[in-house]
Amino acid sequence: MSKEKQKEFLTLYKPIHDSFERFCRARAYSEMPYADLMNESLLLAYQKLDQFNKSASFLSFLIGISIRLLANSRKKKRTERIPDQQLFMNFPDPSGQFDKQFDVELLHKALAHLPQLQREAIILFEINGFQIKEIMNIQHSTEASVKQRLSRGRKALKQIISKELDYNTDGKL
Amino acid sequence: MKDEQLLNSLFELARKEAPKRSFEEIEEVFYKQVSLQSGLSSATLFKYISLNQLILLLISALISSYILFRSPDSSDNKQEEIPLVDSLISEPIYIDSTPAESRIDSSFDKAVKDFSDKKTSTAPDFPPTGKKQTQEKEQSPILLHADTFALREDKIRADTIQLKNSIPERIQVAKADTDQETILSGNSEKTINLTLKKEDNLGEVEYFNETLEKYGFSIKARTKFSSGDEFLAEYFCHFKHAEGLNFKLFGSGFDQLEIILSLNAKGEVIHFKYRFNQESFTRDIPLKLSGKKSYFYGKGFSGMSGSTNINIEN
Repeated sequence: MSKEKQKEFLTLYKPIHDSFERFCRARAYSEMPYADLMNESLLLAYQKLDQFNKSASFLSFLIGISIRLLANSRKKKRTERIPDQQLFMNFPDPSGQFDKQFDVELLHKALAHLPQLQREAIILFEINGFQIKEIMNIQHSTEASVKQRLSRGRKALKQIISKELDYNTDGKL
Repeated sequence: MKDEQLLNSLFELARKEAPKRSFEEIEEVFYKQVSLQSGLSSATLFKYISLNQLILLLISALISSYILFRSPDSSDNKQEEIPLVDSLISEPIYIDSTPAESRIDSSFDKAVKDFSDKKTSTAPDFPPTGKKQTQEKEQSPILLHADTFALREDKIRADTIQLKNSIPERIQVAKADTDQETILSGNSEKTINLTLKKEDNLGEVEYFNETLEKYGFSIKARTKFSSGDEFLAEYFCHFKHAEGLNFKLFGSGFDQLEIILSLNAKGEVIHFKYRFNQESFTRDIPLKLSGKKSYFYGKGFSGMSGSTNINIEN
């Protein structure tokens, strides 16, 4: 019985694996190792599989669980953080596209400076391709709030990224 | 426009980025985790339970030994906190007659010294009417640098306060202990030490205010808790007294506020002093003073940055 449940769960998960990993990598950056977030979210989602409404999006269900896990970990005031470089260096890049990795890393780093809800909204909208209505359900917010977060988040990101690039160009310490 | 294009290209890269962990890797970890959760062997289960029981035994042994062998109250002049209500009322402490180091600037000191020669304005309501704290407008004296303070004041709204828990038992116990006395040298016969900690809930803050009112102050206080009511973020109190006191105190991001009331033989307050975060106490504040003081702690503030605005009323 449990094996069947495990199979069912993994069948639901397989198509959304890439998207979920992208979300976790962007969202967990500088807060916790994204692999831990993924593993814990999956385990919790498996335990709560009975609560999942099969007509709804499994990715939304999984992302909602991840968000709550992150919120709980913040409340516990974890101080363990993996330094940026270590996060970057530990994962081999088979594609060999080093420059692109650096750019995505820059984006994740900039996203980490945003307030939590703005960061989530931007990741869900821009990276995971969620609609505003879907984001409203995940964040339990109004449409206006989500739009405001996206607008303010993008504005802040532009400023952060341009500062980062200036810093890198100038080479100042 | 350039930034917009750059941002869009970064998002495009992030969307198309290949996963770092394959689905097979995730699957393997998932199976391991599930089997760990559900497949505990009886030996492991027994070991787990035994270990838990051992830990519980140790903890209960420690607690009972602490209770049995705890030393009695000494006549030392140490400030002790009541175990169950450690955040609210502490036993009175011996107050050294030599003045403690004051962190109040010279203008405040001068105001305290000179104030005895000045007349006060119209006396505030006394005895306290016992009304709940409201957001009534009040005529404040002419103050220097009032704008910053007014801005902070506006941000504290009583309607945002949510009562966390009501702990009537805790409040009751604290009340019984407030009348403990310490005989001191000097003019004051006894002192009452009140403590407000950032972990306190609304009920405890209200009790703190009520205790001050019990000793003759008219209090108008406002509090602001952090989101989720995790801790007390801001505390504002407007102290008034029949003697003419008109003092506003504001603290933000503090860990602890202590107020020491000095009482005469009749049990009436003659002066008081306070401190935030166990720094030095202020000098004794007379009951005819008028002024305000703000304290900011936490992120963005390196230590205390108090702003003194003292007004001596004629």
